[in-house]
Amino acid sequence: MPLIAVLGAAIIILLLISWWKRASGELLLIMAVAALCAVVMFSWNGLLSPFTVIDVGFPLMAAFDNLSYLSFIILAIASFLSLVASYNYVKERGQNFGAYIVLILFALFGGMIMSCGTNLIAIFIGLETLSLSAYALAGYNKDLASGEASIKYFVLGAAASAILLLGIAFYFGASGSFEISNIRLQVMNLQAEVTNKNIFLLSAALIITGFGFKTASVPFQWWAPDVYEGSPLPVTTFFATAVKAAAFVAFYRIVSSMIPVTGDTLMQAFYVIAVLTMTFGNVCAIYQDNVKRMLAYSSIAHAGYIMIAFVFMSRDMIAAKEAMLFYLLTYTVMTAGAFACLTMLKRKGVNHELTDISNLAALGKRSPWFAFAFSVFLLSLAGFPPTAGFFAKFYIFKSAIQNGFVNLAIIAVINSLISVYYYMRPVVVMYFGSDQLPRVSESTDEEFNYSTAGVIILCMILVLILGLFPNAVLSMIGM
Amino acid sequence: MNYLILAIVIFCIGVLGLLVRRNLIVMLMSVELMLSATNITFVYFSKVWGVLDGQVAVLLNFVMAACEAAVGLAIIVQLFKLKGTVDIGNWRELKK
Repeated sequence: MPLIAVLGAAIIILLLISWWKRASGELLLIMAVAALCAVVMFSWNGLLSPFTVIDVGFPLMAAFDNLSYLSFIILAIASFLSLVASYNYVKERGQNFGAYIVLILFALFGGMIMSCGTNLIAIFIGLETLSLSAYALAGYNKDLASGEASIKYFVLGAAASAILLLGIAFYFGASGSFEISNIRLQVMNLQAEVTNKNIFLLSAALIITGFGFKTASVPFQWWAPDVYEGSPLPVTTFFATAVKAAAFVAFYRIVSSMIPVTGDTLMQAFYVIAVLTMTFGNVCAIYQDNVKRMLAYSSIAHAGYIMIAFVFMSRDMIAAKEAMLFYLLTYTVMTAGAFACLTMLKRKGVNHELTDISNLAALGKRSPWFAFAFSVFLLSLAGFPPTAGFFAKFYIFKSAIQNGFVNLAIIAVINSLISVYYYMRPVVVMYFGSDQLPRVSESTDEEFNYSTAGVIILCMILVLILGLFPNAVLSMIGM
Repeated sequence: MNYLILAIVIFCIGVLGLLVRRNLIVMLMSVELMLSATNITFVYFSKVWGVLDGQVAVLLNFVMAACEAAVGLAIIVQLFKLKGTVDIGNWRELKK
């Protein structure tokens, strides 16, 4: 049902904008938001109802369990935030908002197929639907930076898809089926046949490479900072939240099916990836003067924290799922908030984005509420106690320690201490630092726009709710 | 087994072409080569297991590859309009 709502809305809007050229942006936005609300409502219903859709007479290739429903909700929230935040952004630049909405909705549809698919081919098709829309979205600004981001994302993403597809082919070769669950039945056979097991490990390596690209984890992260910097801001929000969340959920499903066969072999690979990813992200983020690029590196670092859940997955699959989903939800909300704050920054008559750190100077005096909201999101990203980011990190580190990965947890805590430095830098600049950095000649002038401000307020409320009452959400995830 | 070796050789040629060549059109062709190599793998494993799933996957891959080429060429055309070249050596707007 949620899938039909998104696809239906995307097609209706597509037809509407092609027949009725003067359709107003508000109308299209309201339709898209209605579809997203329908997704949340259907998923909520599905989450609460005791029935699970298992057999409807034809191969469904999808599982509708609480993992899929919760990821539907996360994806819908992420798309909602980037859609609403982009309304003014797109309008000011005189671009076609209808096509933008349609691309976001198709990307969301692909992401939802990815997160509920139980067949590797279905997951791959979802991934391609998501990626192809994302390539087009990255190039939505008609300037050189956006074009470069788009082509970089396209070439590397297409290569990653091909590698992932080769991984799927070897998976098929080892198990004789594309079904993820099927592999469990064949564990016994595989233990006997060494060749098959080797093919299977090869496929696991290729699949990890493919998803490593999509989730931007080391050593496949090189595209991320450039693409995040070059893309339009709301689209960057979408990449950092929805694309990443969908990739992680699909990755979780595939890896959870591999664990019975591979045992602890994959764990070591994930250990290395997690440590390298968070260290790389945090260390590189220190040197960035562009806040957008800094947030791109920070998103790499957060992918590293989420990878911790994959490390202890072979010990405790349920805890890994809960920690990952909670982290994805909080990460989505706080990153979308931070990017929405950046979208607010602009100067009259200037169309390019003002994301350099000097543009934030003395913002605390000029617009205190706005500076306060941005500080809350940055504190949350850094993981300070009253906000959501703290509990997400706490939960994931706690599960790691419970499963015996004390060293990993220590490395992760050291990393979050490093991250405090670069998250605090914009805050310091906003409140105290009008002299440290070269000022731009004219002061930035935040025009108030309701859609973006609404997104910031909503994210703020969600961050505080998730931070103050994490138990309510956790019990929902654990259902 | 020979099919598999062929597929892997073609795949490696694709990867090499992607890494070495600087022309966007040729890079797109290299990606298509990688996808075709994967198709050979699918057909081979389909034959080994005696099921048709792999061959159905090949058909789906053709559609995927066509979509990817369409989007890729559209992006390349837009870049060509902006800059007048399809050589990626000339693209350094973003910090390296």
